[in-house]
Amino acid sequence: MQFRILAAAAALALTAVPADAQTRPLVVGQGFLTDSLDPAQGVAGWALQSHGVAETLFTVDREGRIVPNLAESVRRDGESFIIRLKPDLKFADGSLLDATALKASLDRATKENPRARGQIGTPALDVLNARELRLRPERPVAAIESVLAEFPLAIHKFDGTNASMTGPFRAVEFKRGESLRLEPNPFYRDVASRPAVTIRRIGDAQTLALGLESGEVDIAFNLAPETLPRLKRRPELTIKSTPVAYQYMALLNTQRAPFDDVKVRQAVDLAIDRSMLIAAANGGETATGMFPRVFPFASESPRKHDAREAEKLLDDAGWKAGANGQRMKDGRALEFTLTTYPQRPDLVTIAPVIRASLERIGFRVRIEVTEAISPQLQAKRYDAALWAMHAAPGGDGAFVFEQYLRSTSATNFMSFASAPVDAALDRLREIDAAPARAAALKGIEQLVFAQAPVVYLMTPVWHVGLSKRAASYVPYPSDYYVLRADLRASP
Amino acid sequence: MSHHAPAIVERRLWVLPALAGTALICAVWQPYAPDAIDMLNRHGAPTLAHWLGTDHLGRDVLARLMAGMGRTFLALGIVATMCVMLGLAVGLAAASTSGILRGALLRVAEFASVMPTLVVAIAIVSLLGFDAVTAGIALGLGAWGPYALLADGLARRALSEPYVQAARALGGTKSRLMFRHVLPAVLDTQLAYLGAKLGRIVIAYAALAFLGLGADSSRPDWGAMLFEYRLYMFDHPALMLWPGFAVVVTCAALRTALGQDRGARVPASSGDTAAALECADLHVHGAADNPVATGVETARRTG
Repeated sequence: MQFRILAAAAALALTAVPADAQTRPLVVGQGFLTDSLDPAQGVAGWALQSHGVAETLFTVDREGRIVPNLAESVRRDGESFIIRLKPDLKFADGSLLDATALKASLDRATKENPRARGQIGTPALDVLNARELRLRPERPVAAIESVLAEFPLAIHKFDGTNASMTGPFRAVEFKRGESLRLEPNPFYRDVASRPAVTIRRIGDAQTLALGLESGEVDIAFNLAPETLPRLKRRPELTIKSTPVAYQYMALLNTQRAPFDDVKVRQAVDLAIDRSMLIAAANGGETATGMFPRVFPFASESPRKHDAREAEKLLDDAGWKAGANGQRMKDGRALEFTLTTYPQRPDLVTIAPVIRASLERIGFRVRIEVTEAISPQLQAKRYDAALWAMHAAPGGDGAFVFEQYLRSTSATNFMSFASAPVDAALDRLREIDAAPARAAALKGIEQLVFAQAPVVYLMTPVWHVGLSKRAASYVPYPSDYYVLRADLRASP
Repeated sequence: MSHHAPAIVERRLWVLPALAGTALICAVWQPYAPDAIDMLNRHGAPTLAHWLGTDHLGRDVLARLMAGMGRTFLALGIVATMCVMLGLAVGLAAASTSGILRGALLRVAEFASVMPTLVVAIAIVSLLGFDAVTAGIALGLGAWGPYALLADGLARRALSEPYVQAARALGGTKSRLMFRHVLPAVLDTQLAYLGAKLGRIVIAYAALAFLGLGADSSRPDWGAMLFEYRLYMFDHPALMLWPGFAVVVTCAALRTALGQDRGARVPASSGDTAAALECADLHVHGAADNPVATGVETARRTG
């Protein structure tokens, strides 16, 4: 509700006369904005990386490859790794990023944020010289570059109050939930070529489209497909669409009925007609598993749709269909609430299609749209939730499995506990070679499919709308890098 | 009897039952399941099969409007029942008591009156979640205050009427006085007031559904449809026009049926030459052992 009121207010605000188009900052409209300027808090590292403020030691390029970023290299040294920094790196406050500062950053991140401990635990860190740091993970890690590219390990310097980072932009004004004003980081290369930027949080899809049309927004990130026909008719606008490394999925709370029964979860997996979801979202691909097909470790076959088999599973589980089609068991109806959130408009669009698929086989489904889904997931106050997730933010599949499917993970929202999956993840930590890792990840996928704590739905296509000033912008296949050092504004 | 009464009765006989009957039919029957998806027939134009066309998921718009009418009238019924029942209960209780209890009852009713109905409803629905029943309860809890104050005022006036005082003098119990004499006097005006406000309740319910409040925005409430279809405001404007039209027509119909009653029953004083009290065949006798008056037949007008 709050966002709808804000959306209405934003729509009114967008009618204001824009400032001088030559000098005003580029305005980015998007549904998400960081909650904090401290990258060690929650997922702020991800948001600040997306905003062009934070960076990691390694990063993922446009083709999905892991490449050095702040780090020049990393090499194995027995059970440890030696990280070598690039020369002359500086934080946005002008201070030097050396091995001592790097140690302080990694120490703080792993102490403050459980996500940062996901793969390396609490590591032992030793400064070897000004540019080299020895990192000894708490447990074995094979793909260290990928781990060092993960957002919880965003490099920062914290003075007790504020965090300074190394990205191409630095924050100059932050209005929580509303906007973030950025200026080019003066200690980053090519500082003069980058424009100032204002990121405005616009949660409502129609408001975002109207903002682009009115000229108030230069980069409208993740436009709703429903608005595209109209926007494409405007000659002054450019629409760029890109398949993204995100995956849309339904998380099932395995602690709650009816999803505490594996047969019911499997039935949901089989009952959803994913081709209908793609039609509703105006594009995308049927999911094959956790990872979009662009990744070498993705499963090949699209998830199966077989409503009859789903019905048989429900029969076997004791959920019998009544005269009206509604399934009952021990006097209880087969029903649940499907929770989704407006920040990913596609999910709101496909929710009724999922309901239709499930109601055909005897479920009763209530859809709930919530402004803040993360707290609900964290507290596990949900039955089933639609979720959009970058499947391999560090270019490797281990991260999301560790974060979401290991039984002891703090972000295992499904309360999924599988000893075989945990054991397979342990083995994965020992595997170095890429082909062997891909095979191991596919093996874990099969274990997860069998238990179905999560139903993989589709790989989406995202759409970015650009004004003439921002027409050169090229979207990455994710929202991890919305603002980058190559951002330019035309006069 | 007043010459306005037959017109009122006629409207009540035809418009209200027609509306209620239509709503009932719409609640239990639609030509298609309102949530049934047909992705091969998205944004379908009006046809014989789909009179108002289909939406972005191929759902039949008419079926969704009909289901929305059923849900709107369910909420409306709950609000009306709560306002009248709560208003009468608190108002009559206040009128029949005195001192601290009366003061407390009236303060509560005044507080309920000054709080904006929609704000109260938003707060309650955000706690309970949104559907036709909870929204009806929330709107009812936000709207009963004026009914209680009205009932109190009317009841106190009725209690001071000579015929009620006479009944009390003849030994009528308090409860008998309230139910036999006061309640009928209050209820009539209470219902007229309710009638004038029902249209606003329809709009308030649509507003709640539009705002969402954790609601299922894909359910066919008219307000939720307006919200869901706003993305098609420019490319498929009919999707927004139909639920908006439904709200307007329903409000207008309720206004026609009930809202003008008060105007009909309370004629303007300016230029109105109709008698306030008409008597026929009145006989007055002065003898002490005879009735004071016999053969009295009166038609009394309010106002």
